[in-house]
Amino acid sequence: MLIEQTFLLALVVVTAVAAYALGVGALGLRPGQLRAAALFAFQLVGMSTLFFLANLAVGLICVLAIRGATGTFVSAYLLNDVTLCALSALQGVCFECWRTSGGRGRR
Amino acid sequence: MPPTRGLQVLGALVTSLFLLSAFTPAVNLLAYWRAPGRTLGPADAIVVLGEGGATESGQLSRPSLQRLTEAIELYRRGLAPILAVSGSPSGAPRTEAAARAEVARASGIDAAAVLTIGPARTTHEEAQAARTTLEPRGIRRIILVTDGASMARSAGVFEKAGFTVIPSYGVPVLRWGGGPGTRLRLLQETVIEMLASAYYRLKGWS
Repeated sequence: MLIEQTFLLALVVVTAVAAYALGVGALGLRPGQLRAAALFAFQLVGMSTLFFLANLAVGLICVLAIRGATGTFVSAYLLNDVTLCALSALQGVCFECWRTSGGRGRR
Repeated sequence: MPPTRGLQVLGALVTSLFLLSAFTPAVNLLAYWRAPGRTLGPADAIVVLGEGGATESGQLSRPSLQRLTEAIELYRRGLAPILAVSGSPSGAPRTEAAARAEVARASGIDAAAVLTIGPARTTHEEAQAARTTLEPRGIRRIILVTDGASMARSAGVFEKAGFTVIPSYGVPVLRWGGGPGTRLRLLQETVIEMLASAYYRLKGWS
């Protein structure tokens, strides 16, 4: 079904265009800054991906270590949870905002 | 490459992969490419792998019941004289395999034709348990019932254990359909299975 494939995409395009119009028209945002905003969004996604991979790697090591050290079976499917994606995204956004906030060298 | 630029590139790649997976049939193609195939035909037994275990009250989970239903249909088509049900251990009064065996018998299958395997916690353990139970009966050619994404790894493990495996779906069919959510779930399952397959190969299990 074509509608099943494209409905969400079309929906997002419509709200994105509306948000652009609102930003430029009502909020006075500069269109030229949109590229920088998109790059920062990619940056946040990139950092969240790193946290997700780190969480997966540490989780797998823990599962295998518990299996090896105690003989207790812990399923690796524990890591197959959408919550891990959400938490990794939160970690990534928070850490990247902190990293780019210019607070380096101060305690 | 400075860290910020590297993160931007990574983020752009992940976003592109996400969009590609959700809105194009790329994942469908990947799943089709991974799926093993063999013409569905007569076998010595139908083997149903565990899925989700049993609840605390001993009830089967929905995926577990779905696999069993598929196996019962294959049995009724006369594709094999034996139905072997596997399952994971649980703290419930009856294991997944025992619960499945009861359902199979209640659906009219001759009690002597229903065998239980396991309990087993992993696919590798299931293959070993299946060999212990089925090999003495001379069972070598099996129809394996599991979900599509894990068929490649599961078939590899059972082949390694000495069985000739026919996937329950026979020859895979390329399906283009599914909305973005369905495709992302398929991607998730496929990636997990690819990682699991790599681990199994590393361990020499498939």
